[in-house]
Amino acid sequence: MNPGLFSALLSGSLAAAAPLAVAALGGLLTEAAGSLSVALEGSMLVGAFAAAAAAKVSGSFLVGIVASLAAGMSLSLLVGLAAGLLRADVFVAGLAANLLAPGLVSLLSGALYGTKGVLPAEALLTSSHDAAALSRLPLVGQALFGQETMVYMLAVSAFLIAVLFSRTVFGLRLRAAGEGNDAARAAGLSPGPYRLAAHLLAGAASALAGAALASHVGAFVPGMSAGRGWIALVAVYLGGRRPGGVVLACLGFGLLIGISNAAQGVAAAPAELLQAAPYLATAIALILWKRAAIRKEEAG
Amino acid sequence: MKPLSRRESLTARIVALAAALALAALYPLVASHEPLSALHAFFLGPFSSSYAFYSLLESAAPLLICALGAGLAFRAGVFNLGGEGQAAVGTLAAALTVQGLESSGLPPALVLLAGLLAAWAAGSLLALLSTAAELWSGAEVLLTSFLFSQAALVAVDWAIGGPLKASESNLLAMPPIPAPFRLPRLAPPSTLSLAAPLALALALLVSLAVDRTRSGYELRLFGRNRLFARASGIGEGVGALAMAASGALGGVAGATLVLGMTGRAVEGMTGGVGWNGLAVALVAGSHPMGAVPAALFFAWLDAGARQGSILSNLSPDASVVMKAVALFLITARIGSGWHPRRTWKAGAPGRGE
Repeated sequence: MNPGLFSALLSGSLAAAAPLAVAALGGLLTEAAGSLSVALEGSMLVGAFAAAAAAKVSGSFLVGIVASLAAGMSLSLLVGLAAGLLRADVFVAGLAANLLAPGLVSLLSGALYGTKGVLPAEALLTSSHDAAALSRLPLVGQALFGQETMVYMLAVSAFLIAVLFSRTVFGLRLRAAGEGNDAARAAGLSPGPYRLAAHLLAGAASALAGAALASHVGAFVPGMSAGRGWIALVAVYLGGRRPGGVVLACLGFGLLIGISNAAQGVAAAPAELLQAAPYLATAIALILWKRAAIRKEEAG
Repeated sequence: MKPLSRRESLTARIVALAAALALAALYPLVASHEPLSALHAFFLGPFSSSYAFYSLLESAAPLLICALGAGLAFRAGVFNLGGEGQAAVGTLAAALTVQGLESSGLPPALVLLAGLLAAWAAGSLLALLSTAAELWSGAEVLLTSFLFSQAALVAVDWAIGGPLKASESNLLAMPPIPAPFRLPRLAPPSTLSLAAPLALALALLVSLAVDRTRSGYELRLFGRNRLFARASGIGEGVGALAMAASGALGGVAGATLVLGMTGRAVEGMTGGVGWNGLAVALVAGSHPMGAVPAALFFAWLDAGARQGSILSNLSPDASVVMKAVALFLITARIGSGWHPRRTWKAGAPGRGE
């Protein structure tokens, strides 16, 4: 492979993996708390919209991010309260949130901005570090040092969530809450608040991932979450309830997305059709992974 | 998902529908400059003329068929989240089959039937991919059905808007299907077609199959307790059967869109019918006959919001919010034994409880 292509592919894959990893780590928190949220997709979409909507009005990147987090947390608050306080099925509540998100976004976009289409918000764009000296390192320079600022923000966020999960008392209690109500009560915990906190954090993380999608193109595009929240959910399943595993799965999916993006320029297959590739590849990865796990169990 | 008791289920259903209705009543009051006429348009618009009412019935048909499919899978304990893609492959299969046979000299009714069967088969095959994957590897149907469906959606949209597009058209659509090969219109000029009675007949059929046949019994047992079902000699075949039928119904729902309402395959024409069908099935507690009023209710919210947007300044998206609210509350357990403070602290139910 020629070095320029390799460098571009690696850099594109990492950029695609970063938002997936943040959303998936958010999902991991809910899974570990015993209340897996499927609302990552919905939170991502409202996060992307709120980021663009707020950045457009205020002209400020920071206001956009804050609005994005607030929107994602509001949506996941609904899921958390329905599941925790009203004892609704968390899966169905998550589906409801995913159903609600596109309609709500379209409703608000029409009411506030008079358009249901693309919402440009240049303030969300972050500078890319193409010119940084280290980014000229061969092969990995572009991928590691030449990304947009937003990608580094995502990486830091992912790291913080992982630390919160594995290395803090809060994370420990969260995981205890996931061991079941009796186990949690035996440890002197009320699991309810921890589950709700997990939902709120998952909403915020997914929304930030959504904001990153909007930041990359400097606009909100309807349907721009495009199944990324579901792919993040698959990463939660594949990651074996460990942050490292989840991030690894996301890196794998990022590579698949990177390859299908890169292939759009060169492959004989039409670009529109290649958009199906990440879904198919995710499904195939899940199936092969599960199959390998079965074989390992049989052998051991 | 833990089944609700009959009493919890009834309470939840009443609360959920009341909340959706309350929102439907509040929204025009808040959002419109002329609340009364907006309210009137929203609630009564769909009943204001036979045209509007018949169109409401027609739009409920694919929703009902999708809901039957989703509900059937739920009853067997299988989470088929691929209804949207299954409907999409159904639209394409129906359109291609009818297009291929329309100049074959076969009687139009036969061609129409072939179109429906092709959609049946296409939806069913797509759904069975997930079952096959689960049997081979244990990959969750919940995830693979969604992923395969999304891939299929992309492929179908590409095919309809690309290589199969009618060359003379500005629309991203295949050529229109000639009138004799469509589902007959029952009350022109409204869109009401044979799709509506077909949907009702399918609801009866599914209801009988689930409640009155041996396979239906096995399916319910499989759904309620898989381990016990296996111990009683009920094999994985039941799950596969449920998934195949579920996908097939999704495919047929897609076919009714092409052969009924629109008369041609248009890019993106499923427009959420799979997801809404899933919501209808959940609201109906996966009961086939319960899905009939639930589908009509959802179709009425959509039609009301549309009428409200034409006659007043409401948004047609408002119905999505109302449907979501109903779905948020539909599995709530706020009947007996519910105590806000205790429930909140316990955060019930947790994993495996």
